Amino acid sequence: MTDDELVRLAQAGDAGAFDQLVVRHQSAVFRATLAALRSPEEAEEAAQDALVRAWQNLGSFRGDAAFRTWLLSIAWNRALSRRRSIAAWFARRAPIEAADRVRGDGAGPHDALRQRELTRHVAAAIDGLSPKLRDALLLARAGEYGYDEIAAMLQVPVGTLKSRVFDARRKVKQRLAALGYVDGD
Amino acid sequence: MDHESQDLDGVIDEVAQAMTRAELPRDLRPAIAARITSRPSWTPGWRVAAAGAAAAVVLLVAVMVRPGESPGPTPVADSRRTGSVVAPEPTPAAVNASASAPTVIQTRAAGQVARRAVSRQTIAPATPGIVEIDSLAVVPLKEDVETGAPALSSVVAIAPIDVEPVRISQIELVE
Repeated sequence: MTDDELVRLAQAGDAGAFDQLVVRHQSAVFRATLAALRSPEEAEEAAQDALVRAWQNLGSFRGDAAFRTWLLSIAWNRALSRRRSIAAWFARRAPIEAADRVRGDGAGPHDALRQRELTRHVAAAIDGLSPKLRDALLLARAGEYGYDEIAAMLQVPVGTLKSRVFDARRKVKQRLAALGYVDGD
Repeated sequence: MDHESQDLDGVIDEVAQAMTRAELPRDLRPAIAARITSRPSWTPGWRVAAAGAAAAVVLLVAVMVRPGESPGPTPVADSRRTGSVVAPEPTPAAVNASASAPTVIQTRAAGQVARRAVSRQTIAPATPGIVEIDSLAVVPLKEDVETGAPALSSVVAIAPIDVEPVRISQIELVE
C-alpha cells in the first residue's frame, strides 16, 4: 500500500493506517529531530509531538507535497521550537564545548588516538557553526534525506541549501587548519 | 603542532553522520499510538465546530452592524435634517416656540448621536470614522444645490465683463 493510500485511510480516521505510516517514517522523523536537538531524549519528545500533530492535522494535508516531506517539515518545526528552549540548548551544548577545549596535548603514539582527537575537533568545529550552516550540514550528511526534502524542511531553495553545506564544510576546514590539520585532498 | 595530511572531507562527513545517528527509541511508536487512541479522530469534529463558530461570529457581526449603520451613516446629516424638518413644525405654532423647539430637538438629536457613537464603539470601532467622512462629503453638495443664492452672486460677479464691449464701442466712436 502506498503512502497516499494510507494517508487517505488515516484521514478517514483509520488509526491503524496511520500507525503504518509511523512505522515507515519514524526513523526519518527521529533523525531530523536529532539533527536539530542532538539529544536523543529531546529528539524523541519532539518526534512524538510531530507525529501526533501530523495525525491531528492530517485533514489539512492535500497531497501537494509527498506525505514524508510534509511530515518532516512538521518534525523540523517541532524540533526548532523545542530548541528555542534555552535550558535544553545549554544542556546539549555543554559536553561539546568541553570537547572543544581538548587540544594540543601532543600527538599520540597511535593512529587511533590521533583519529579520535581529530573526530573531537571536527565535532567541536561543526558545533561551532551558525545554526543555519550546522543544520544544513548535518541534514545533508545524515544520509537519510534528499536535497529536496531538506530544502522543504528548512524552507529554503535547493541552491541556498547547497551553498550552506559548502560554506559549513569550508568553515570547519578553516577551524581545523588553525589547529594544524592539513587537508589531503 | 602539525598533523599529517588527511582527508578532512571524509572525516567531516563521518562525524556529521555520527552526530545524527542514534538508536531509534523503542517507545516511540507505542507512545504515539497511545496518544492517538486517547483522543481518536477528534480533528474532524473540531474542524466542523470551528467552522460553525466562525460562521456564527460572522452572522452576529453582520446583524449587529446593520441596524447601527442604517440610521448611523449620516449622524451630522441627521442633525441637519432634524433642524430643517423641525423648522416647518413651529410655523403653525407661535414664533417664540420656533426658537425653543429646535434647540430641544437638536440636543435630543445630539444625544442620540452620542448614544449611537457609544454603542458603535463596542461593536466595530472602524465604522464611526467612515460614517463621518460620508456625511461631510454630502453636506456641501446639498447646500450648493438647494440654496442657489451663492450661484447668483457668482453670476453678478461676472457682470463687469459686460462693460468691456462699451469700451470697444467708444473706440469705434473715436474712429
